Amino acid sequence: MMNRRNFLHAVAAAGAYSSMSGITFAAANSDKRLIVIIQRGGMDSLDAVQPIGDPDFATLRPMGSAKSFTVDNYFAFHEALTPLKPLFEARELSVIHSVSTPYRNRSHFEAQDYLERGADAHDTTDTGWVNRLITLMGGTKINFAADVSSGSQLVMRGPAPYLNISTNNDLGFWSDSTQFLEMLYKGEKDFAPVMAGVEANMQQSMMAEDDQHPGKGINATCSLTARMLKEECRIASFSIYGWDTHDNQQNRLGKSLDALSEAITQLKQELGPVWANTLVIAASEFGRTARFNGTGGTDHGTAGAAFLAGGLLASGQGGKVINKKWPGLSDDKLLEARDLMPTDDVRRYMGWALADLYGISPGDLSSKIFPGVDVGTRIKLI
Amino acid sequence: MNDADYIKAFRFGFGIPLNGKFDPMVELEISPKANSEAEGELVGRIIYLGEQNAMAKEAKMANADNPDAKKTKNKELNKQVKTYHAQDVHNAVMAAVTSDQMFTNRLQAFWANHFALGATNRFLKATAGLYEATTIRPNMFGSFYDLLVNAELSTAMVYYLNLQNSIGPNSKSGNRNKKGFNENLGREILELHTVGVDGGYNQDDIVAFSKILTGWHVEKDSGQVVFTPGRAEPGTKFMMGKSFGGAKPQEQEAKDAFRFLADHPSTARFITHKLAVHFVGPNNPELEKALESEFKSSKGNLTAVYKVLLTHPASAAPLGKNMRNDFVFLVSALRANKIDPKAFELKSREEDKPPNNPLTVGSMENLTQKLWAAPSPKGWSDDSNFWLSPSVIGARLIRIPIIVTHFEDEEPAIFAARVLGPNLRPQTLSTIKLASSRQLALGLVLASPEFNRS
Repeated sequence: MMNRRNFLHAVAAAGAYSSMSGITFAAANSDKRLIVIIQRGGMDSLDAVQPIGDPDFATLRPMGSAKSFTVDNYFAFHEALTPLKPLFEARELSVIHSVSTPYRNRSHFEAQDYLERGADAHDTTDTGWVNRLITLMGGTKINFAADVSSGSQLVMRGPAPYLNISTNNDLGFWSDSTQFLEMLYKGEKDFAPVMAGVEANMQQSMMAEDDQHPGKGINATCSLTARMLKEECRIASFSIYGWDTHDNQQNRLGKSLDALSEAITQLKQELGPVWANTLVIAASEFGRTARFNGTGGTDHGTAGAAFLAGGLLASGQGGKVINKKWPGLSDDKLLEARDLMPTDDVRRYMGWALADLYGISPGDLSSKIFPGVDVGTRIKLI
Repeated sequence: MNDADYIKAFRFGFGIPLNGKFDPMVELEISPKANSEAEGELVGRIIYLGEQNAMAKEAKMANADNPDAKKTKNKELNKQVKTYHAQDVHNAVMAAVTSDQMFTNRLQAFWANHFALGATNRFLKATAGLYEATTIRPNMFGSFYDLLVNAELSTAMVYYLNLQNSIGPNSKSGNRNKKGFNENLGREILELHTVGVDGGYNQDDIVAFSKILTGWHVEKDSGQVVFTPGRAEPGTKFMMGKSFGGAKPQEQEAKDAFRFLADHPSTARFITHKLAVHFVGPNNPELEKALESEFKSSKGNLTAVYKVLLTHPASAAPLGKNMRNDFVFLVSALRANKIDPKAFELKSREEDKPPNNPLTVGSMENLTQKLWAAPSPKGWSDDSNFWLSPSVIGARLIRIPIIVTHFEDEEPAIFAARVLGPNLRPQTLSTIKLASSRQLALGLVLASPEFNRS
């Protein structure tokens, strides 16, 4: 079996690298990087970034969990977010609080659809907003964007090309035989495009042995993401699970926040100088109930919080808890007397971030990226 | 086998039958019975885990100055749970690989995914496999109501969707301990297991149903799911326009609610739509209508519904509308040719490690679809787009050489014709004829689009 270096050497010598998979090393339009993290399950924003300055918070959450650093004596970050403190102080991290999509019915799966499809009303088109962004940017190379997951994420899906790559990609057996797979799939409407992606994975797997964190898990995902973004890839997305804390939240939420802290700090470390040109957006489908339920957890709610990170924030809205207007936590201020009231559409912030990152016009934001979403007045984030 | 037999075997089974004959209608006559061995094993494991947890706590207390005592106990326990899990995954794959009852095993996988588990903690890892054997398999040929009640009030589901500590706030226990309920199981039963997200319920109905479900929990000493009136919320609850329960909490209350949901017209539509999409593919309105109407008129008699599914003209249509999921792909691949039984031995490579087998456990760990570990209670997708991603296909390509290396020697062109029948494309045949090795040629058959579709 051919090893990695021999393989790269062989394809380079044959000039076959691009012809065999459709990949070229052409420069992308922009050197700015975007990482979209979907926190699946519904993060409890009131525990992650606790509004300790709101007089009703202590009543709602008498058993408040351990805190780390505070902002303006009004918000306190959860203890498990402590590793992010240096980033916050360097203005490379921000939180957008009390935001949501317009969805109000608290189903994980419909709420994730709103976040990933990006359209204002519930629709069933099978394309995600990142894919439409790729189209708009004129991304035609498969390695311009990457869905780093073992399945596939709706936020990335659509007609524009992108890599779907998992950390489980040791395709050594096939590396000498790709021409047979190409022959097998040629002209097949579904498998031919899949094959292009598989070959790209194969090439990535040849380089995986040098990753700081090979193998599986969030660290391996971040290593792979960082490596690709240092090369031709400009946009990447992956998911972090484990936010659906209906019971025993004290023990469970910390683990998921650990994973988020770990992901962001590791991306910064492994991206090196590229971090200065990077924006990370981490968002969850909804927040959770303002009160704890009877089993030491929280149920599905509405408004939540999104995280922004990256060197690009330092000259913009870094080091802040961004909030249009704190909605309050008294019963009459909560949505249906149970959920944090949304004060803004989270996709407005994501949209304006794309405007700053890639020059997407407000018209395109409201018609193509987030169809039907009124992006309103400009928000300068980066 | 004629063309119609191949279509049936791919659509309702795992491809070509081992004995040359596949008759799913016959399987409906021999529905599986309760599995008392698995039931005993399940209870034994629950009691064992309870005792071990208690011992771990004791060890910690007795050795306050020795934090390693608890760590050692935990390590031992984790190894035992991994061993249980490996055995269960191995047994589940082997049962499907060796059985003539392909439709029964496909149905089992379908329902286990409908009432999906995400085995993320020790308790669920140790019990999820037995949940499928004790709860799903013996109940999937009777009424949907029976399957529903057994699935929701199973030890695994009670733990997975957090019913275990959900207590009526005005119950005796709730008053005494200032405890209450959560909405997890109530919401997901409505959205994912019965009426569906558009089935006609709102937030108040979710709260009412969550209260109705209180009282049911796993009794750790017996390993059984029991109803304890002192934990159940008293009073009448209104769900979807109907009242349930009364002043005195009773076992019957939750069962009345399950009966109401099983009989609800939205449930008939939701369940039959899912069956049609899973087995035949999307966009079969006539099939869905026929299934829905049978579900309603038979009061959720699942065998009657399966009969319509198996005999409807839409089910004889050409293959190719669906992608096989990873489990069906793997079992079909392992059945495609003779494999030396020695290759299927489950054993520990090192004394300290839980047992493994690269064909069964190793495959299920490395394909995208993990058994009893769906990423959410929604289970694994029936959408072909999900299974058509490079990550999913890439993971299958990684397993293929590991499988074909154990195949009995067979001329690749003969193998392709035997396994794929009328679906074999000329393109596949011409490709394998050019392959540089027999192993590669056999692997290409398993990698072909027609092998990955149904």
